[in-house]
Amino acid sequence: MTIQQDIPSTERVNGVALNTVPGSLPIRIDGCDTISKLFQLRCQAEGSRTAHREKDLGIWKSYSWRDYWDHARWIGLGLLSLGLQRGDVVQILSEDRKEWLYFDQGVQCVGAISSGVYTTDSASQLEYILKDSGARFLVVENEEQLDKFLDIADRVPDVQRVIILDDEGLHALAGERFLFLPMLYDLGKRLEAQTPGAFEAEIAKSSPEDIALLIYTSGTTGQPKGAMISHRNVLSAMEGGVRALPTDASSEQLCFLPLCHILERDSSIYFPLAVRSTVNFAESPETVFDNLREVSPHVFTAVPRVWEKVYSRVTVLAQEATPLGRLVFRLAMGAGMARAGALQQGRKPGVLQEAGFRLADWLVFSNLRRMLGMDRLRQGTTGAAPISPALLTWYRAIGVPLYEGYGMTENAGLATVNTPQANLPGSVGRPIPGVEVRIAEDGEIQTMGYNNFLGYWRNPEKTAETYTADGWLRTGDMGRIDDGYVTITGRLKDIIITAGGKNITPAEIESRLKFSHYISDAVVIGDKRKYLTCLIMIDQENVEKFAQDRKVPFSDFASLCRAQPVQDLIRAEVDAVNREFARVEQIKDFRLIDVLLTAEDEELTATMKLRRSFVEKKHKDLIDDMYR
Amino acid sequence: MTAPLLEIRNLETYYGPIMAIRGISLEVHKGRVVTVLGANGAGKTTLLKTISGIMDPEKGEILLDGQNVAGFEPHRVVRAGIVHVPEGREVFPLLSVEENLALGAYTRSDRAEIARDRDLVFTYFPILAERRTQEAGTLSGGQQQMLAIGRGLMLRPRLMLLDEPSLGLSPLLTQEIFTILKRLNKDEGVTMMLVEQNAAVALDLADDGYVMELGRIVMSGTADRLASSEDIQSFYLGHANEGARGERRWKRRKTWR
Repeated sequence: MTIQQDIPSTERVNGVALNTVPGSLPIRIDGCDTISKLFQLRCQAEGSRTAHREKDLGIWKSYSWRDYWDHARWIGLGLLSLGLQRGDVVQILSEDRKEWLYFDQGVQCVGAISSGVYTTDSASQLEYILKDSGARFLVVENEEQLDKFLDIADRVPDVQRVIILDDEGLHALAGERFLFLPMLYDLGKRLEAQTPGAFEAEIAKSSPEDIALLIYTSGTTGQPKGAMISHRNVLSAMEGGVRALPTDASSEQLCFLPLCHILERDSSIYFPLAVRSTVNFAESPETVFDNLREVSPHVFTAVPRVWEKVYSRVTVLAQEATPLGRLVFRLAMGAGMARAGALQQGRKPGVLQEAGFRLADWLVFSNLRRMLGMDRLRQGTTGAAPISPALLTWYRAIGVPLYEGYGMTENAGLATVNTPQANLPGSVGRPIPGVEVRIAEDGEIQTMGYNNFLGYWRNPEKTAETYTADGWLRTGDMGRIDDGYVTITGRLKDIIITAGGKNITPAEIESRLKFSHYISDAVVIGDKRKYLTCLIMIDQENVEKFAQDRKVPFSDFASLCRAQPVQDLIRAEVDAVNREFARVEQIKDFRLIDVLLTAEDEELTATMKLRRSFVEKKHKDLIDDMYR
Repeated sequence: MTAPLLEIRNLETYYGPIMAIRGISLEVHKGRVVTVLGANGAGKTTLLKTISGIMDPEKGEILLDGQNVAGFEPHRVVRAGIVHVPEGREVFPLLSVEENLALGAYTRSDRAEIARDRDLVFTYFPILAERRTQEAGTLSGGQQQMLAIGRGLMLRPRLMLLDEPSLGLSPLLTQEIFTILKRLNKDEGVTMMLVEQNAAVALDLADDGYVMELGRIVMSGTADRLASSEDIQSFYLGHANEGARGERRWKRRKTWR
């Protein structure tokens, strides 16, 4: 090892200096090799510019980069004075809000590890994560989340301090372990006065190999595992993100998915750190669409569920318009779809197609986009679950370019993405610069790059299982590569082997089912069984609309699922999908899940996907009924 | 089970551009008491007003013994056998108790039977007999409520719609009126559809129930099943899970299971 290190040549992308050759060490973004150093650089340079906006009593308020820096610094120093050590884990149990980011940065800057717990998790799930991570500090948002901790307080003796963000209703709370946020800020300010520059000194100690975050992955089987992500991993994903997304310092974004999830963490904390964009926090999961309209972001990253919801709303609105309105919308959609079809196939649209679209855009789509809050949208991104290619075409038709990407916690959230320059709808795009993807003999997608994570927290066996002998990351997904574009076909461990010995990838059938507007999710069953069956979760809004239009009486959700016309509707959807598959892959029977699942239910992941193992366990009666 | 006395299918009602009832289907069987629970603004009163013809539905059917009465003028709905005991009682204040009762029977001409029914009302509500010549406006709230119910009974209705009979009454009076309603149902076989905010008394009286939220039905079942549901207990019956601190203020999300 020599003292001198070669400095890789850099280029500027979206106003950010990146290595000209991605995937070469040291990875630096604007000359910084850790998240914390970049954070310091940004805050000092941006100063009073707006970093975040939050809605307070109905009014959007701005918070600057200096606020970001000051609060993160006080948090970091405050935690130090409470005895936080480098390498400690701090758990954050809160909805998305600016303090989540203040903690994330503050904790990392003093060399500790930040980790998030879903607000929908139960007290026992919180207990597991606290014990597994050995966290000594827990941050809770409010009374509701604090009560989860109080239920298990005696069983997690290692948790020394609980920091509460919102003190409403908690004035009577007393105890050594509890601390309100302003008190932590005071501790930080005091330490700062005693030892000026302590925070900056801690940041200088950060190294690319340090663990920056721990992300608990929603295991479909067994307990969640904590994935250790280093500063370098995140920087590697940022390199790809900066190149793939048309964001810059003037961009507005909306943050609404859980920050515990790598997708929102990347898009709302780390990518904005690189490009200096402004992040707006949605008030609550229920108000996302209103907030979207108010903010009108330049880039918008969401899961397919959200894109499907927007589409359904537009379709319903269009149906309820006046006859003239309906006609104009249909004509406009025709023009939009024709052009989108050509674009999706990589052809240049004809002059007439382009002219038709321009007219439709002027009359209809520009208003539609304004109504949705997508009038400034340069690019939409979807990930975390498969999306219907038809939906991508639809968005293209109304003038919203939507691109699908792919990544997982274990590769810091980004491995491949479609871009305006290289787009193949139906695929998840080409690997981001600096990342390689290969298909193993059994069909598994494997990735290599500096974004590959360090391993699972205190779980070397699982870590070993996740890497191949030659150091590639096993994604657990199966797929193929054509011309560099990666297409995902399913999960390796979900493969069904029927009693007849036939191997079936359920994801292929399931995603085809999900493309129906009436089906929000489906789980195909048939392992060691004679034939395939399926449990289906219907899309409440669209099926209710169907029932209401067809005068099908129903009272609650269960009676909606029971209604014969609804059963027939879903059967027709299943039959349509069956026609695309070979005999052995066809679904013989199905049942509807007649309870309305919420994010608190363990059958659903935080991104509202059905969890196979839990569904199979909870609805065993329904399944057995289909094989009687 | 036999065909329902009242069957509502996919009912939608608007206040101008605002959709107050967003597709409701429910059934009331003969001789039973059905309660519709819900918070303020859920659309309960609108539902009753739509049934009794005071408001016109945009869509849907209201089948009384198979005959669609949706969109009928109120007087025709009354002749079909549905009587509406409105929220806030709405007795005729300047008419006497007897005159109020006589108006309840204005669609009938069988004098002897009317007199018998008036006596029946007086046996159930003896206080009204004592004050038969008094102006209705001078009665107490509880007495006015009794008069409103009595006036409804004078029609010999096939179905009685009751809109918040407990409104503004003391717990004791509420208890008294609900006891009488129960007797009317058991002894006289009056079928009732009852809208209430006081879920405890309503579920006690009713055989079946529906829960409305924002113009939709979110839960339905027998009154016993509803009363044992966790959501109903914490949101309508006020059984609180106090949690570890003993002063929980936040409410968990409703799931209606």
